[in-house]
Amino acid sequence: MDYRTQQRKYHGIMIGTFVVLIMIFLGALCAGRLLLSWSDMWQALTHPIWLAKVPTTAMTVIWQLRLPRILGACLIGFGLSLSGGAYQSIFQNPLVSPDLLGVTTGASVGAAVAILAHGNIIAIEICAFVAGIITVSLTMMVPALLKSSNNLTLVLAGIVVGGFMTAILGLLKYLADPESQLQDIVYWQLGSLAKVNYQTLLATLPVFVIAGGILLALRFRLNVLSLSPTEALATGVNLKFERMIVILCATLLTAAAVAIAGTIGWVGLIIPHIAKLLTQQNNQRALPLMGILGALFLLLIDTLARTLSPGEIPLGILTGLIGTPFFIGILFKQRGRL
Amino acid sequence: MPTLATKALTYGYTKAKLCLKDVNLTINPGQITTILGPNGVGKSTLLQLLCGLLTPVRGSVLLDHQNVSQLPPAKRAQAIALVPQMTSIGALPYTVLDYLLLGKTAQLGLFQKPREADYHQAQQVLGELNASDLLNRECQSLSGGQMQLVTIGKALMQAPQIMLLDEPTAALDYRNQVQILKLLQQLADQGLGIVLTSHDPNQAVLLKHQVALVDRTGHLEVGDMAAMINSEKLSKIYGTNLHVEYVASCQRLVCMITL
Repeated sequence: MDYRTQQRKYHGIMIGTFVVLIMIFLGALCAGRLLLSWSDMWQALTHPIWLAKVPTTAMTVIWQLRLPRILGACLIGFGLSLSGGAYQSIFQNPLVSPDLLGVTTGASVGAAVAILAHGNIIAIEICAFVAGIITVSLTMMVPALLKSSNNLTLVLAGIVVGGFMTAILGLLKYLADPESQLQDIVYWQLGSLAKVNYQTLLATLPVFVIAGGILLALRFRLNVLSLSPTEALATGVNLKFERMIVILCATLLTAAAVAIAGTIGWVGLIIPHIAKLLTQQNNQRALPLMGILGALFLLLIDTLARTLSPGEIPLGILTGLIGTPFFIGILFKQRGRL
Repeated sequence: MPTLATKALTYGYTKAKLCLKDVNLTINPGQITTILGPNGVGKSTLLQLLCGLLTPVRGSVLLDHQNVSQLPPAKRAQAIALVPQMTSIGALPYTVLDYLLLGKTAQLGLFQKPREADYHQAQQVLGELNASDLLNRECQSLSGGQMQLVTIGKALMQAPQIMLLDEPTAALDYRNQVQILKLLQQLADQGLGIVLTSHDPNQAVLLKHQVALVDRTGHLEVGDMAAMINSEKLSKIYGTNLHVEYVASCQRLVCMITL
């Protein structure tokens, strides 16, 4: 396949995925307990609630409830997916993701500390990031100490460190005030988009844009960083520096996602694999697709979560149902190299 | 084309135990240097020192007059390419084209990605290696010989002036060995300085030029092929009886092992 055919095919996939995302986006605006017709939805969407003297029910539902939640789902899906793809590349390990490395749990510990200290969303975000960085560093230390570059060692390290963080989270829950704080912390642990609002979106948007933008800009470098350290160095990469930037950005994205919606598993594992499957494993093409697919996937899951039953199904249940068989599939494909 | 030279280069993974001592080696443009020596004397380490991946304990590696270990990574990779023995090519899910493009890293800025011209260069490099048909293959599906060719191709994408190869013919069958050795000769004819490590003195004979022998104490002796390849020197270096003899039908020296 020559360069131009390859580019055309890639652009086709990108545009196709984006069109599907827009369609699900509009569909999600219609769907819900109050089912809106296409024209009602469009009518409400094209008339911002802030300009209306007497807002209609449709306007309130769209602008106050559904739009922030849908935007949140897209941003978080985008962030978690890119973050997972980045971790997989620099650790040269297809089995890792923010949740399997323990970063999501670590970030929730940070978020819980901030909640206990009555912090605002910015404080929650910063604490989540700091705790996330500490967790990923701890996880990376285990294989280094064992001098093992085996794929499973890193995954096991993630489970161990994640388990430790879960214990700390349990301790924080035990110490929390059951009247007010406990509820908030439990919400973080379960993962839900129900509490997303414009304020939290605005506070985390810069992180998604900057950290996501940097990872996207570095997408060719991610290919080089997947080489063995000696080869990467010999190819002319500033290995320590570039690895550090990627880990910082990936952890920032995870922390921002955790700060607004708690721990949402599996997205960062499944989506990068699907995106790579569609682009011959090349990060340079896979990463932008990962972003769009991540947004699409989480939006779809969240819309199902709030429409399938009268009550709301926690997101973790749905992503877990899809994620677990998927992970077994990857393990099966990897069996020769474990 | 620049010259790469070591001055009293000394290195050890721990301070107490040095594996290379006072190594003086000069690699001129268009010259092939074959490094011979038993397992574990530090041949691969020497290559990593030559391209600045390791920092010497004492002494220095100079590219013309610049200290290699102080050059920025991209600058270094534009001049010197390393083909390590254990590459990750067999573990990578990339296509040959995408793998070759990784060689462009040193020429690209942090946020840049390969352009159309780089894709054409990759096609051209594969053409020079007589392996154009591999372009869209997955790296994991290649044979050992093809992998070695593609790894050299990636190094060529760096457009280096000096190429270091760690046992480029290990694990290859005769036909592939001949192909790689011929390729190295071609590259040297184009003016590249070539350094390779090998376990087979016959390859040093075939490549002529310069031979360096590393012994178990970490000392390196370097000289013309004719002066270095003889029964006495090789038997001493390898610690076993080796027999070097001129074979008229091959029109060259041949090194044989005896039991």
